[in-house]
Amino acid sequence: MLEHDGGDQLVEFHSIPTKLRRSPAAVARQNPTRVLIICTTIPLRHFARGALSSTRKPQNMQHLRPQTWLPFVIFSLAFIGCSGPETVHEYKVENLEIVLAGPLFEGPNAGQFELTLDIPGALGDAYAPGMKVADARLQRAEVSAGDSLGFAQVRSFVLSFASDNEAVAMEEAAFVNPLPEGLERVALNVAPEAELGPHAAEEKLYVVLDVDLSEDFWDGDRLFLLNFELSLTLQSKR
Amino acid sequence: MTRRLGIWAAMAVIAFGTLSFELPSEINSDVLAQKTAGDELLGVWEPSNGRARVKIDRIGTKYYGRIVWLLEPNDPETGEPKTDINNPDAALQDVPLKGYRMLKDFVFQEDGTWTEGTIYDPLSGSTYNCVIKMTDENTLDIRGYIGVQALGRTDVWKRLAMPKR
Repeated sequence: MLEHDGGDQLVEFHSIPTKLRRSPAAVARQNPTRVLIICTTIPLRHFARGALSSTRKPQNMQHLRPQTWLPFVIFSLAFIGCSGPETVHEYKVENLEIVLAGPLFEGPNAGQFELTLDIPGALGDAYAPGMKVADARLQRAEVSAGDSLGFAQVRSFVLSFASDNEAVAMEEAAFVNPLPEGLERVALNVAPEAELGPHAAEEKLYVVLDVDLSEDFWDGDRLFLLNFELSLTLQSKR
Repeated sequence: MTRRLGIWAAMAVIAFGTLSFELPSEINSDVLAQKTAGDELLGVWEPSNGRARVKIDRIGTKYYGRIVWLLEPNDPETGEPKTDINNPDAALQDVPLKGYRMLKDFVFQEDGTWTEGTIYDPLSGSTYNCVIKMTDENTLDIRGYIGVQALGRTDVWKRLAMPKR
C-alpha cells in the first residue's frame, strides 16, 4: 500500500493483483465502447443489407456467411489487441473537508472540493509512463459530521463529480435519501453505473456534496467530512 | 527627540500608507479573479410554467442549475417528497428531485451565451442539449434541442430576488 499527501486529506492507493489476461466479459465491463463496436457490427451489417435489398427473401442468410462478418470481427479484435494491459487499483480519499458556507437556506445547499488525483505519485514505481485511466467507478462513499451540529437538519446527501473540461459532464455517483435519524456517519448508496473515468483522467476534478436542509441556517458554516474509494482501471501503453 | 519621533511617524505613515494602498488592490484582484465573465447567470430563476425554481451556480468554470423549489414538492400518491423516478439509471431513482441539477456543464462563450450544457426533464427522464441566452438581466431564453438548435424549444425564465434575512 502506498500513501501520499493530498493536502490535509489522507489518500491511499492500493494495487490489486493484476489480471493481464482477462475474460471477454471482464473486457466488456471495462470497455463498453469497444464491446459496443463488436456487438453492433454484425447486426448493422445485417440491417444494411436487408434494407438495401428489398427483394431478398427473409430466409436468405447469405449475408451472415463468415466472409461477410469475419473482417469486422478481426478488425474489432485487432482494435482491442492494440490496447495495452489493464490493471485495477483502489484509490482512497479520506477526510475530505466539504464546507457549506453560510447563510444556508432550507432546501439543497452545495459544498465542493477541488481535488487533484496524483496517480503517478501514488502509484510510485508501479507507474509506467503513458499509463492512462481507462475507467473509474465509485466503490464506497461515506459522510460524517465535521462539527458539533452533526447531521442536524440534514435530510439527504447527494455526491457528484464534475470537471472544467467541456467534454466531461457532471455525474451523480452516490446519495442517501432520506437520511436516517441519529447517525453520526452514513454510507451513501453508490450508483455503480456512474462512469467517473473521464473525471479521474483530468488533472483536477470537483467533488460536490449536495446537502438538503430542513431549515434555514444563519449561524456560520457547516462542515462535513467525506471518505470515498474509487476503483481505477489503468491502461498501460503497449 | 521630537525630530526622531517625527521621522518615525513619517516612516510609519509611509509604511502604513503603502499598506493601505496595497491591501485593497490585492483583495480586489482576488475578488476579480473569483468573479468571472458569465457570472451574471448566477441566481434563482423560474421557468415559464412556474412549477419550479432553479438556482444557478458555478463549479469551477462551468455553470449548473439546481431545483431549489417545487410547486408540488410531494408525490400526490405517497405524500413523500418527489424523487427522480424517471432517471434512466435505476440506482439514482431515489435521489430527491428538490436539489437535482437539471442544468449541467454550461460554458460561457464570448458571444454572451452559455453553451455545451444539457437540460434534464424530470417528467420524462430525458436529457437534451441546451443553450442559454440572456435577453436582459432578468430574463433567460433556455433552448433545449436534439442534434441541431433548429430542432428545439425555447422557454423563457425570469430571475427571482434572493430572500433576505
